[in-house]
Amino acid sequence: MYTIGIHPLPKLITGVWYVSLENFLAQSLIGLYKGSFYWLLAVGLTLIFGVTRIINFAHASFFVLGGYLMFTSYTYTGSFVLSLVVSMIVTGLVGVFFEILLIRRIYRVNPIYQLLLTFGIALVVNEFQKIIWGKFPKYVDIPEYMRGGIMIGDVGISYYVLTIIGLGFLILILVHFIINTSLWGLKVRTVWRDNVVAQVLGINPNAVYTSVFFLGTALAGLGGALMVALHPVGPGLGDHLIVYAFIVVVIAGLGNIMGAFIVSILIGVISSLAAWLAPEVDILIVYSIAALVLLLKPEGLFGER
Amino acid sequence: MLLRNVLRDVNVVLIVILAFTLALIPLTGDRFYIYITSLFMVYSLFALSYNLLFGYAGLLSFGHAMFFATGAYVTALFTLKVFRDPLVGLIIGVMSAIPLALIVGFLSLRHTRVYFAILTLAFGMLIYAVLVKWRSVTGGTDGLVGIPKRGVILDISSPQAYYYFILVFFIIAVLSLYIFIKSRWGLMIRALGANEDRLPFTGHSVLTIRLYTFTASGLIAALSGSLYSILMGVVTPDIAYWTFSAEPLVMTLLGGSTYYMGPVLGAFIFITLTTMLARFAEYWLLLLGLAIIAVVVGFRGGVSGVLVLAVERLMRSVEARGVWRSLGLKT
Amino acid sequence: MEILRVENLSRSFGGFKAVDNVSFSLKELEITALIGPNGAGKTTLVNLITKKLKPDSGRIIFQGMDVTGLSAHKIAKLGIVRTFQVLSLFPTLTVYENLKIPALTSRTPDEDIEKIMVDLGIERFKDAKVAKLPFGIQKLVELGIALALKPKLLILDEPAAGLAQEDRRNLTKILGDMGRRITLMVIEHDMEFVFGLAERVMVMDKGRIIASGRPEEIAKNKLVREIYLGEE
Repeated sequence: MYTIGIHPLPKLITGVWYVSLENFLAQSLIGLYKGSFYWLLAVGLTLIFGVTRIINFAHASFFVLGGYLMFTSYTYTGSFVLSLVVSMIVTGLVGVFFEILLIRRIYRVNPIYQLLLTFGIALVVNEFQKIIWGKFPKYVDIPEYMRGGIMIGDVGISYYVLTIIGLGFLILILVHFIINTSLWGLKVRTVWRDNVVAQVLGINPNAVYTSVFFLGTALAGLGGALMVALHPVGPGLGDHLIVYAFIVVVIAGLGNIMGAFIVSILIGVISSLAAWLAPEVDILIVYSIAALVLLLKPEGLFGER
Repeated sequence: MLLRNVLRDVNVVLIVILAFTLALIPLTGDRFYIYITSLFMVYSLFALSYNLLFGYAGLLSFGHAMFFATGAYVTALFTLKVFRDPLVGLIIGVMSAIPLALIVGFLSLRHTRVYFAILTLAFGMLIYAVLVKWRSVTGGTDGLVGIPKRGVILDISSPQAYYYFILVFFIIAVLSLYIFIKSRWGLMIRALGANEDRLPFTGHSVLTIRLYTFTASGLIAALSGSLYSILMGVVTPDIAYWTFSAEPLVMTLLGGSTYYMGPVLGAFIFITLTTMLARFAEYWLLLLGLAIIAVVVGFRGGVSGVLVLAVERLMRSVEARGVWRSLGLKT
Repeated sequence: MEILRVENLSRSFGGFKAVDNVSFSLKELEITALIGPNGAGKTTLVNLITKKLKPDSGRIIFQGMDVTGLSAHKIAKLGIVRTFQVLSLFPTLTVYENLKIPALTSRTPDEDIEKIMVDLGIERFKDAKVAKLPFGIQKLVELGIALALKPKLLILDEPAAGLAQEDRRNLTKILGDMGRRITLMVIEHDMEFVFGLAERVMVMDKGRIIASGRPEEIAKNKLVREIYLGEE
């Protein structure tokens, strides 16, 4: 058995001198998959903010919506992949619905009121979820062909979890690819850079805003849809998740996709390891990091403003 | 001269009327009304403190519950573990807001207003996490029970007693806050909300003004939290969860953030709706969300805004003008 | 007596040099006009001096003291005051309150605030909310805010812009009176205004000061004429 030594300080917290390398690896993988979920949550928020300058308080609610939709469509269709796609697209459409109906009216308004509006939308979405799906949590089972996993150290890591980690990286590459090479991506980058110049160049910002809203919200919906197999969705989950989304944003800084990815993964890994080694203070470690970043680099590690 | 101005002030008149009305409530002898009105006073203070930050200084916070919870828990812990008296516990609870405001304020107030909003949510949840995890001290998710009303100095066990206890602090706080807003510090705070960007060029430090606003706001919020813990006798961590921070925001938006007593009106509406109409309570968050949307997209003034518009229209009619002038009132 | 000295001040935005190695000094109680075509960098220069923007390099010395590192509110407290071309008032507050705010910094008593309002001719609007006032009055409030700070150096960014002829002449008179007690620097486009008021004129173009001297000299300066009149 391989062991790695850890500096004495953790002993005070964990009572452990050494942990096995395999267990460390296992917990890190768990951290990676949790980070992937944070990433799926954060990427849409970052995209939407970068382009529209709006911080979408309702973002976590859409994430959860994806989970609920997954529950419904998987229960009815029995096809996991199809349900994923459906959940993703429908969530994106719901996002677009709100963008066209409400958010469009407030692009030039005081940012405080923008935040308030998205907060109001979050409440409405959360409550509609309660009305439609009821007060009890919903979950789905991992599909047959995904069951099982590998043992690393004392921990069983399911194939599903590994897939999610892979998907996280895949989404990063895809988003990066689309933004940087496609024509649509060029439009997005231009509006991101400078809204006014983009209009002068003939780009219709409303079309860009709406499509970015669709993509961002759809990704959140995908995240929720993937999560339902591992963690039930129920009332209050959105409230809980929005905090994580914001913590990632605070540490990474607003507006940088790559930064959001790195920080999401980091937070996932750190909080997992902390939950394993020092469960009493795991959340506090994350907050302390946030506070430290705030003190030393207030615009975030990768922030632009 | 100041006194004459104060006496002519509509807000002071409102406060006096409110104080008299509230003072009469215990005479009904109804325990429920006494309790619910006590809660109304607590929430009013919470909302007023919030509006100092939001309506006057333009700072949106999603972490205001941290002051409420800190005041509540510190009072609870102090009276349970150190010195058994509600009055002393209250004072200590209120004081605890100062270090909290300075530390959190220092870390969060140097940013843009939007970033500040996000940060307050994060810090508020940090407090929540501490309250939940530190079982040995805070009782974890079970919280603390048995917060005494009968103490060494003061015994406010009977409904009338605790009611008047709360009422006294309520009146003192509402008046003090109003005098503060009318003072030169209040002017600076209003300047902050009116045009933050110009402020440095008039020789004032934005950060300094934000800091003392945050602290004053925190003190009143902590007071409301301390009163809450004494009133309820029990505190649990959910008063630190960020959704509880949204409640004073809602009360302020509903009642109106432009006028001083707006949040009090909002607290009244809020309590009436959530406690009196149980059916309503089922879907109240939904209506709340819709109300917020309505306020942002449509009418920013809240209920007090509507009322004031109506009153203004009334005042503009010629006969009414004569009436107001003869009473010697100005708004 | 030199009241302000600016040394090698520079500021770029991306690749664009808005202010390029500018140096000049202002004499106490002298009225200086800063002119130049749009985009020359005049407002940016003022922003750098008053710390709305941080300079990339250079020094600012005020009354013999190096103030380069100071923040905007400290600069204002020291007596370098500016007005804004695009009005930046406190809209929800009254005229009196707008002036009271800077007065608190300079510890100006209420009677002096009254005097400023009277001198500017706005005292009848004392308790009116600024947002509801006509543009010309708002411009005067903007000036009033600056005056209430009891400035030692007052920089005015296009104070006459948008004003009718009569108001302009009124303003010239007010500034002329002021110029006897306060050092003034005025950014303006109205040449009649400039030449009627200024004792010294500085010309900026493309981030640099290309000419500086008495108004008559500047009017004859070849380079200046090239820029303004397009002469060969």
